[in-house]
Amino acid sequence: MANKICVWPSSEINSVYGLIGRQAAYLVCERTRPDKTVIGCMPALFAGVDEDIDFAVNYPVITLEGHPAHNASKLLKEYARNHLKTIVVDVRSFLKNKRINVSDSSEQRLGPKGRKAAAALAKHTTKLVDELLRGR
Amino acid sequence: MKKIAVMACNGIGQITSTTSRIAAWEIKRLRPKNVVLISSPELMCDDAKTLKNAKNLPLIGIDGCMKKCATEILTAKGIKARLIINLPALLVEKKLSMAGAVRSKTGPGHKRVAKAIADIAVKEIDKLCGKEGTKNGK
Repeated sequence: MANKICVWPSSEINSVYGLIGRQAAYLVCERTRPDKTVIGCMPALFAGVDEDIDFAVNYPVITLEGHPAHNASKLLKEYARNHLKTIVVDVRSFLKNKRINVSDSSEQRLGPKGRKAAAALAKHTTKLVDELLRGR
Repeated sequence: MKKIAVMACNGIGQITSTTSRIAAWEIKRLRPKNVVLISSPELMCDDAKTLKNAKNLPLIGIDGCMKKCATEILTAKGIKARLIINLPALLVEKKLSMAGAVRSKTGPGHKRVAKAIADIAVKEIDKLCGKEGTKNGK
C-alpha cells in the first residue's frame, strides 16, 4: 500500500481551470495532507528530473486537469509508463457538477467564487488522497 | 502586428516557478498586442495551435530554476529560442531577494523579480518589433 500520494496539477497558464487546479494542489500538499502528499511538476517530468520521475513511478497520482486534453495524465502515460495508478479529475467538469461558477476569476487571479472552487476541489482531492492511502 | 511568443517554464514546485509565471503575465500586460503566451503543458503535449505558435514565432523563454525545464522543452520540440531568461542567474546578477515569497501566493518578492524579467523581455520584444512594440502597450 502506498504511503504517499502525488497530486499533479496540469497548471495551464492560459486557463482559470489551470489556476484552480494549481491552487487546490497547494492547499492539499501544504495544508490538508502535507505529510501524505507530494506535488508533481509537469515540466520537471518532461525534463527528466529524477525527483518527479520517482513521484510518478512510486506513488499513486491524482491529476487535476485544467484543459479538456488532460495534459497531465497524457504526459504521465508517456513519461512514466510504470506508474502505479492515476485518478483523473477534470476541473471544469468537477465544478460544473458542483454548480460552482467562477465568473469572477481569471487565469491570473481568483475572486471569492474562484477561491471557493479551489477549496472545494482541494476537499475532493483530500478525500481521494485518503481513499488511495486506505488502498481503495 | 508582429507577434512574439513567451513561454515560462510554468513549473509548480519552486517559488521561482511561480515567479516565472507572473513574469510571463507581466510581459503580456506590458505588450498585449505583441505577446502570445505559450502554455508549457500544451506545448509538451503537442497541442497543434500551441506548437504552431511556438515554432513559427520568435520565442522568449523563462527558466524558473536550475533544472532549466523551459529550455529542455524547447530543445525537445526543436525550437530555438530568441532569448532565454534564467531566473536564478538573474537573482544573482541583479542581487534580487525573494525573501518571504511563497509558491502558492503572489507577493512583493515575486513582483520585484517578475518586473526585472519583464524589463529584459520587453526590451527584446521592442527590438524585434521595431516601433510597434513600444506603442501598443502604453
